[in-house]
Amino acid sequence: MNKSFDRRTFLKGATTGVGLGLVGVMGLYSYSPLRKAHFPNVDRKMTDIGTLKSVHVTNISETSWFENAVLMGDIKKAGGLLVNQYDYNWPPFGNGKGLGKGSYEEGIAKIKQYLPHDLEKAWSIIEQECVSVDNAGGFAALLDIEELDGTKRKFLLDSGWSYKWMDECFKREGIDAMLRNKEIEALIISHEHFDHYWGLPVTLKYDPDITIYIPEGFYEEGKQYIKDSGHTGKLIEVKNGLNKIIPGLATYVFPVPIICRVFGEQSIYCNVKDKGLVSVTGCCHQGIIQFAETAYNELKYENDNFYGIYGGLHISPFDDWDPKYDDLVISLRNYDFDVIGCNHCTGLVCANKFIQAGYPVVRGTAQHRSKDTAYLGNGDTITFG
Amino acid sequence: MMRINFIPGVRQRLGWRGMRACPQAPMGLTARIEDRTGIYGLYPSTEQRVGREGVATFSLFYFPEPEDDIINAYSLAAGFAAYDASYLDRLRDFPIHTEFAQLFHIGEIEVRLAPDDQLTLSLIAPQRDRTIAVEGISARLHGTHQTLVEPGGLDQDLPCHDLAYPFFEILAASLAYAFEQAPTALQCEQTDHVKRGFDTTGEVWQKLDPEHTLDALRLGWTFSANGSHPTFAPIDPREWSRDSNAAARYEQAKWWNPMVPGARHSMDKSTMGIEEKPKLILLTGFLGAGKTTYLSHFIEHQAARNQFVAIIQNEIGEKGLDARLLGQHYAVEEIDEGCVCCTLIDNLTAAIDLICQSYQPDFIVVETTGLANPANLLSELSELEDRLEFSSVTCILDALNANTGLETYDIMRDQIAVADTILINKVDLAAAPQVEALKQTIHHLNPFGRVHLTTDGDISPRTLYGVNFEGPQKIAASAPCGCSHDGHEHHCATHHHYGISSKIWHPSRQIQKEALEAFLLALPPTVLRVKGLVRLAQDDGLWVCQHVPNSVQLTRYRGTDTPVEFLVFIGEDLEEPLARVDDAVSVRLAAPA
Repeated sequence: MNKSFDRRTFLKGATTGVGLGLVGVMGLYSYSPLRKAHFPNVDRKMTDIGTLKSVHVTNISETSWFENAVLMGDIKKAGGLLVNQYDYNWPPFGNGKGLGKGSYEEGIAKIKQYLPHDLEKAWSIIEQECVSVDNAGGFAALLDIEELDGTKRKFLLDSGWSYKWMDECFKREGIDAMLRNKEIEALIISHEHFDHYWGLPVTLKYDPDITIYIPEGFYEEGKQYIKDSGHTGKLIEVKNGLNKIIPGLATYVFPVPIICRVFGEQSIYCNVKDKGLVSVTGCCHQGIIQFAETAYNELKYENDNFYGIYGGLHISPFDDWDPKYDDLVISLRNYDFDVIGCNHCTGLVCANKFIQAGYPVVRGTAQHRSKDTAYLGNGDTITFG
Repeated sequence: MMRINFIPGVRQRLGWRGMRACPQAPMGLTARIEDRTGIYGLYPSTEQRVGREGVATFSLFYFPEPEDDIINAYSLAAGFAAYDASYLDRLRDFPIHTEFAQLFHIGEIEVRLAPDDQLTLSLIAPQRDRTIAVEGISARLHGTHQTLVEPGGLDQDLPCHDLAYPFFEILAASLAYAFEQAPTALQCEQTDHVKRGFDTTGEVWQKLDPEHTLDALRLGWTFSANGSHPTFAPIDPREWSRDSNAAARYEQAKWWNPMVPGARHSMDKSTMGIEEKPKLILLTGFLGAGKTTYLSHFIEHQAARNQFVAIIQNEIGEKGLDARLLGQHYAVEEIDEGCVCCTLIDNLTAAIDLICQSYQPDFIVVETTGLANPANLLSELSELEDRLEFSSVTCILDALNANTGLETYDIMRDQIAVADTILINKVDLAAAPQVEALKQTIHHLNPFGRVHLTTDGDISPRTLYGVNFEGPQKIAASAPCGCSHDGHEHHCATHHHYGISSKIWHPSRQIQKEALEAFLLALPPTVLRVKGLVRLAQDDGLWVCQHVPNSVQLTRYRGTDTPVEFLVFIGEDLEEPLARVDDAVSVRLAAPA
């Protein structure tokens, strides 16, 4: 039987003016034409990760590098975003052959004997062998946790990039003393990227025995670097998914591919009593959408409320098919965070847009080479709870 | 999926036109592809082990644009859903709207992974999926009864395989690209398919559809050096028969070529990031229209996508202020005093070459002074065609001042005429009729330019230039200049023709804020722009001053250096204000006792 009229005309007429509900349609049945498409359960799992009283974040450094032009220029000249980060001849892995012609093996061979006890000597070699040495900075943050019973615990998120810069920052914030006194119970590495991970020897210089958490997905060079840097403590490779650390603090590993041949990012969730969920991210390469939705689907958190967020923010790894949806400002609104501390990958214009939109952004002081008060900059702090 | 998205050139050439994970069901994906106006949806459905193979299936959906003819082929229920106001919102999160989504289900994509490094990707979809409305479907509309489907007639007659194939082809090509190899085997199979009948109680019967089969198109990859050819061993209870003739149909399919066509080099290490020519954007617009603010949005948008922007800036005044205002250091190569179009054509080419060699940017934005005539520039820039890809001439207008400007200055008309993209900025400051009048004027001057309204220069570059930045229009570098002056052959009028110049003033004392604001607002409109860095008496701090007729902006200077204070005046008849400014705004010296 042929259709004797154009459905579109009918549908258009039916929906404009009248509205679908007013069309009395008889005989219409909603069915599944093919084998029923199977939609696995989307119930919330409500996993309990415990609660803690408060988390205080100190931004040790958020300036991953100082000149974006130099970094992007290096990336482009070496061949683009798919090139293996260890091949760049960026500090600390240099063989003197110039941009893009490096390798982990050759680079580490030149400095291994000085790690982690004599970073000055290692750095003087690095200055000879590597490119764009002064551009390297790094990302690292200190988490001061207070548990419900008042116990205080410290965790370090990431160890930055440049030995020189990170050591300065560590000393500025007193991290060196804390590590020597073993006040920091673990180093959590968010992902294998150069600006979060390659500064590892700086942490190990003061506490080579510290427990380290890395996400599943590290490549050979990354794993080897832990040994070559003189780590003597426990190494925990966190599998994809949820990983509880202490009551109220958990990490979640997202199996995502990241530029410069990196895989997997680990982000931190804290459940603050009476307030809600706080997230602390390195770069959030998986995107704020996936990050928040994962929290929603998997975790149980106080007041069912997204309380705070700290770190670098991306919306999603994709470019939407509708440009309107690429707006981080709009996306963040959906999650209704009470406190926002952004830096680093978020973008200054974006951070300022958050502020203009009236979002609860905690301002920084733009010191120690951080660029703008819209960011929580180097040396700035934020307390949740 | 994520890896191929890292490089816009790759995903564009593979055929993707945007994708997004479903916000409330992150395992699901919606995507748009070239040549198709609708949106595809993909969602994992089952996973199991069959013998030694792991098998995962994904359900594939196609949500057409309501205006698309294909709506007629879908069931009426689907048609109603597509015309509902919530259609777009629901399809974005289709996995949580199961009944809605099922109306648009067109097939399955199956992935099999065998332990000896074999991967099979299959598209399983019926040639046509038909459903019969046993009792017919009718509607009462405006009091009249209308039969939509005769009893026993077809409610749905959907060419599923044809709809699914374009998506499958792009998916397979993406896999070939990611694996750096084409599939080594292809097989087509068929099995029986059913048509269904339903009445108001539900589905009542299923019958063999003798005219249409359920088709499977299978591609196999082998990864190990001595791996065996993929065998496509049957793994489900359906009886499949091979279709040997089908293979010929797919000879031209995209997946056979793992090198993305158009990529200049093959996949060796040094060129894995596809080397494309930098895209050139010519940014024009009168003084103070908001070019710098627009640029800061643009730069950050690109930086968030790891795209590198180089800006060639030109400042008719002696000092380049904007680099400092932007506060970022994304390779700003300033060209010396003078207008890019009139005196420094050679320098521009040299500057672009220098930038390309040092930085290999993805974008080069030439920000011309408010007085530049882009037509003049374009013919010169055509020399660079082998090194650059012309993307756009974008013109930014100040909603507040453009109407008056257009009456007085020919150059503004020329800027609009030659642009392909026009932004009317600061619409929050202007009245609606003013903006409307401006739109009309623009349309007369340039019927083909795309006009957008903005506040603060805030607009997604993708809205302006298309997803993947492939642009809705390309501009020919040697397009005839649309100047309003007659009698010229090649070089159009330069700004000297208009009597506009620039003068700089260096304050020797601190400045009173109120006096400065009063002075600037009182200037005649022939002074088009004043900007600079001044030290204000109230806090002995450095402030950035920006002025266009009717507006003064003072913001704290964020730099860490202490540059020389200055104010640059741009316009006509500048001698008079320059003679007065010192007395008018500077702090008075204490009177001698």
